[in-house]
Amino acid sequence: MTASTYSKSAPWYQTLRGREAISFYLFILPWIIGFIVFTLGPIIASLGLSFTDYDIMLPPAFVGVDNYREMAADPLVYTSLYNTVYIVIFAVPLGMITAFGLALLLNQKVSFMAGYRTAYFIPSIVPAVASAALWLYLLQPQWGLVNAFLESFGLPGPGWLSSEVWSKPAIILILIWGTGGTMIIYLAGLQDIPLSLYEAAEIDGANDWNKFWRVTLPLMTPVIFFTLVLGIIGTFQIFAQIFVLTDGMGGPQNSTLVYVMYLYRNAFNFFRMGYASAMAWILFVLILILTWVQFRFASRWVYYESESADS
Amino acid sequence: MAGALVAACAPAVPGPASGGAAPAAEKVTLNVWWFEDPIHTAMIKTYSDSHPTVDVNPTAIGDIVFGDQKYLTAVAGGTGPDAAVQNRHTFLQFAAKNLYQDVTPWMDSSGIARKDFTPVQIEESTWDGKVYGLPMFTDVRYLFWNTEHFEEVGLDPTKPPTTWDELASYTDLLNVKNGDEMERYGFVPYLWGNSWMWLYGFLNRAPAISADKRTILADDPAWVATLEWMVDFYQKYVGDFETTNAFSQSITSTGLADPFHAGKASMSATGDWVVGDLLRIPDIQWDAAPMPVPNGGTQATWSCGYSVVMAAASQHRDEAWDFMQWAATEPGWEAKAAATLADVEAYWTREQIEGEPQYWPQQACYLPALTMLQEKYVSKLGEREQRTWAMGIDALENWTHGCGTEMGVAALEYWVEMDNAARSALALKVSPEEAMMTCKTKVQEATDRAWAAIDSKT
Repeated sequence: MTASTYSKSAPWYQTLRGREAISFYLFILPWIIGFIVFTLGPIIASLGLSFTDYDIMLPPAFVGVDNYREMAADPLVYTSLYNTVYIVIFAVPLGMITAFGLALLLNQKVSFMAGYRTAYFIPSIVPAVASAALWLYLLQPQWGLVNAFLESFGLPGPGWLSSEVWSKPAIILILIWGTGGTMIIYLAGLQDIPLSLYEAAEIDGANDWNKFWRVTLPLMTPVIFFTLVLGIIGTFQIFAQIFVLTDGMGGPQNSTLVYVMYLYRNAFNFFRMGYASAMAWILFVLILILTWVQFRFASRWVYYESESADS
Repeated sequence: MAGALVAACAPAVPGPASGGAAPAAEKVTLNVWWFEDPIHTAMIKTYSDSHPTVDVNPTAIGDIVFGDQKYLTAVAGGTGPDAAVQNRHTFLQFAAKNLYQDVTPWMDSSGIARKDFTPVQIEESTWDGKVYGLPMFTDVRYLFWNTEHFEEVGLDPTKPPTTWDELASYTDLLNVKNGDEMERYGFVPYLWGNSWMWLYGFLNRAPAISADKRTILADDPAWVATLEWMVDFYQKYVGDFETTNAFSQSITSTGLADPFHAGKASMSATGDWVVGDLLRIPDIQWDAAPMPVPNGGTQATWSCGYSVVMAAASQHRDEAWDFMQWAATEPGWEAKAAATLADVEAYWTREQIEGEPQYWPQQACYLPALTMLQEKYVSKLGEREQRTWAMGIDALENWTHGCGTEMGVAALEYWVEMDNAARSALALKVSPEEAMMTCKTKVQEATDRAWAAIDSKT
């Protein structure tokens, strides 16, 4: 190409590649600056702060690993971690199954499909605070719709958010309700599967179940893997809904005190920024390990077409 | 920012101001972090109308009961408002952190003095001998009872229980059960109304904190005994903690403040503001008296409320002081009373309640304002309300505890841990003794940390 012959004599910034690089960095500069100032900077600062005692008003005082040591002995750290893991274990798979089922149904060819898709997607665009306020009414023990529905089947409705046993299931229910985002990703994945594969399967005599099990599911594994990773990361950081549902207290009896809420309480109620920073870093490491484990084992069940073509 | 620019560019020509005399100087924009309800918004308008040289820019203060992240982070960042409302519960904790400006010099050169305020509330606004804010209003907790329920079970409706033994026997009489299910509760300590552990502890002479505010006394045998009594009371007369909690939630979600307001509780330990609510529900016949006292206990209650402060970074301190003084004294209270009265009248019309609108004022901490409210408004209410008001004045002078004074420099931690202690013991997860020990340990740690920071400054 002419550019390459031209580049031999011209300085790098006048080459096509050089000019392209300059434009590239100029265009992404606003984001880079924003990232460094508002994300990377605070992240590094919080690592430093996690080794200090810092109440905002006085300069941070270095305390070594005291915050981490205190965390190891703080029962509420374990309570909040248990609550969070409980919610992750149930909400993530149940949410994925629900989303996958909905996506399969919404991938059919029936009339008004756009209307159905919109209806199931709407919950995921409702702001967390608004949906929490709505669920407070739905889950109201005596007059709420959920218990009225259960009672119509003769089932006794639990106290939901006022019950220590049922508060976490209530949160899980609310999270599953907002699974429309995952559903849309699955729907896109389903529509990406070439029809020729189904035709080939039919010629080979496959029934619907075979087609789902042998074609749909294997080809969807990269999408499922993606939503699993994001789902676990997101649910570990759950905060807003529970904060609104429980007036920021994580009640009853700390049964919905999730990790980030306890972190927030230490930071902005007790003004223990050092301790809260240490909590944030432990959460970061936990999520990092979990994500690494998932990628480590992904090759055992996630099917990538491009890779299998080589083998 | 826009306000400041407008103010800076304002013409030096006197406007059609009502004051008129002095030529309008450059208009000052005073940033005030304030309550955003209609009544407090109306107060700001009244102030602005009568102070043509000041342009008050009110912003919602947000949640200031469980910590005040907005105010704290702003002030720590060197900005923040000129003046703000603050809860006295955490007042010393924040004053000790230099979050408020010492206003003693302004107070000394003004016409108001510390003795002009209710004693407990001015003490709560004072740290290290210096005044850090002006107390605006406060509250007091009593026993309310439903006189119709008393008559129904053969109790004298004019004679409330005066001891904890009587409280128990009355509760037993007043409980209404349908099979195993409770339909009406005689009395539910702690969980319903607004009493918390503190009220019962103070009645039982339980000390919260040492005089130097360095030692948390939540492990005192009197606290353990109080919690033991409460757990026993639930087991005998109330029932399961969780069921009771769900019962009240089902009532509050209908918009009523409390089971007592719904006629589903016969007695309630709660605050004086409830009088205003009850006057709007003529169906509930009630009366109020000081809380029953345990054997060896003492007449007691507790009070909290809000003060108005000046932020250390304020660029308009004289104006901020003027606003603080206005808000805490008669002019502010007259504006507030007028706005509240209008709101009450509108409510009476809207809900078509029979009879004259009844306005029950909040208790002012500034004594001349308190007298003004009594003479101008309370005197128009019935005998029962006047008696309740007088009981409040007596409590404020003689037998109330200040929430801020009692909780010291780790007030938030103390509030949260005392609450956790009561809940875990009432839910039968830990013994009362263990619960109070945990509370003591955690709050003592927080208090020690706070003092280490305070001591390192001096």
